[in-house]
Amino acid sequence: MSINVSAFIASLRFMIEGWLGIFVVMGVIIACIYGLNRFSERLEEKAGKSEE
Amino acid sequence: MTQIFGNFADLTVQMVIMWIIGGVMIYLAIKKEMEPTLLLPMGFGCILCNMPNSGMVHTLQILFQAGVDNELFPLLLFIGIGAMIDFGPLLADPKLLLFGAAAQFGIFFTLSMASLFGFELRDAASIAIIGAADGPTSIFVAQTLKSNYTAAIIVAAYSYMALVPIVQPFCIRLVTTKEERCIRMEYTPGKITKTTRILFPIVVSAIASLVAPDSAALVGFLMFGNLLRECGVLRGLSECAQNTLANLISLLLGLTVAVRMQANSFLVPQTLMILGLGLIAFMFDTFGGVFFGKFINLFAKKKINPMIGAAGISAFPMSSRVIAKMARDEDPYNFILMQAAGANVAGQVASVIAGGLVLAMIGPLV
Repeated sequence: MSINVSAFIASLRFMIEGWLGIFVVMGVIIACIYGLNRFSERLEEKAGKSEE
Repeated sequence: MTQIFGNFADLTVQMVIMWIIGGVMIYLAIKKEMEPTLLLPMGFGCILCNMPNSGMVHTLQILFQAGVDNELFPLLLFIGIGAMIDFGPLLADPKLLLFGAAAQFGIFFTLSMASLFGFELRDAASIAIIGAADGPTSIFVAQTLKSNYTAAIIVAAYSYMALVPIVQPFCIRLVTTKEERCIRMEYTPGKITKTTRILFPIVVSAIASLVAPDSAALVGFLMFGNLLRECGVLRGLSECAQNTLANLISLLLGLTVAVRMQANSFLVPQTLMILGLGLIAFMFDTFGGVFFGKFINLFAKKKINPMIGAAGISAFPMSSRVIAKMARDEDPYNFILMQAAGANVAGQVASVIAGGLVLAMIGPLV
């Protein structure tokens, strides 16, 4: 097993892209959860009103 | 007599070492109750596969081709895991997903470290996924990338998952002050409707499939299990997935993986390297999560306990329990279990997405 500095430097790209990529995906999911919460609350409010 | 004792001539020292390794696994499973559903069959299979001219190898090879080579077992296991997870604490405070992302740092750091130590890119990526603290994801990625070290990676992944109560407190104490560990957090959960709980697994699967198509199977099966749980009309199936299916697949997986633990391929210096790199991945996951918590505290009005960042790994619910216990040990009135649980389930989602991203980035290059 030998030390491979050039492979290490090349892999730094994956480190940055991959880690930031997860943050981006998580950001999108967070936005979706907030959206879902609002949407479903409104849906339930409407259902409540129509029952009244 | 030669027919009866002929096999003894084929016995090697390496085989005996593998019996000892198998014995240690069985000991840890029974005596220490460390991941027993997996370590027990793995240890038993390891001993039998390292008998001279063992017929067990042929039988397990068939199971391996049927369930691991095609990634079927880890995916089926994900249905069970998905059915076990309550995403409630996460849905109540979606920001916790960011801790799940932060705590995947170890994966990408280890990818670079494994490359530095001369591992091929496919092996480096597979080793890095040990940091997901997620056995099925490790198996899935290692198999998809056709890594040469699947068995060592699986052993490392499950061993470190079981070692969370030892590794994480050590790492957290290394990078936090007592003051930080004592930070109290108010728990004010938002309202979660049933519609949100049902739509969440569908939406996450769709997003993950669009962003990283390779993660569609991983995320999809996990979220399908969760949908079974949350839909409310398939209680029997949900319970079956959580118990019977998950246990059965773990058992088959453990036995099957043992076929890759034959002395000639397992007792190589690379195995030790993989165990070391796996530990690095795990430690840097913890550091990543804790430092992200500290980073947030630079701007936040309401300080958060940076320890919950460490719970952003996939080892659920062990990690959140360990962190909650640490907080209580420092201050008996500090209750952060719900926040840690939220970060912990975020880690579940993040780890499978990380697996998908690694496949998307590395897959086309190998």
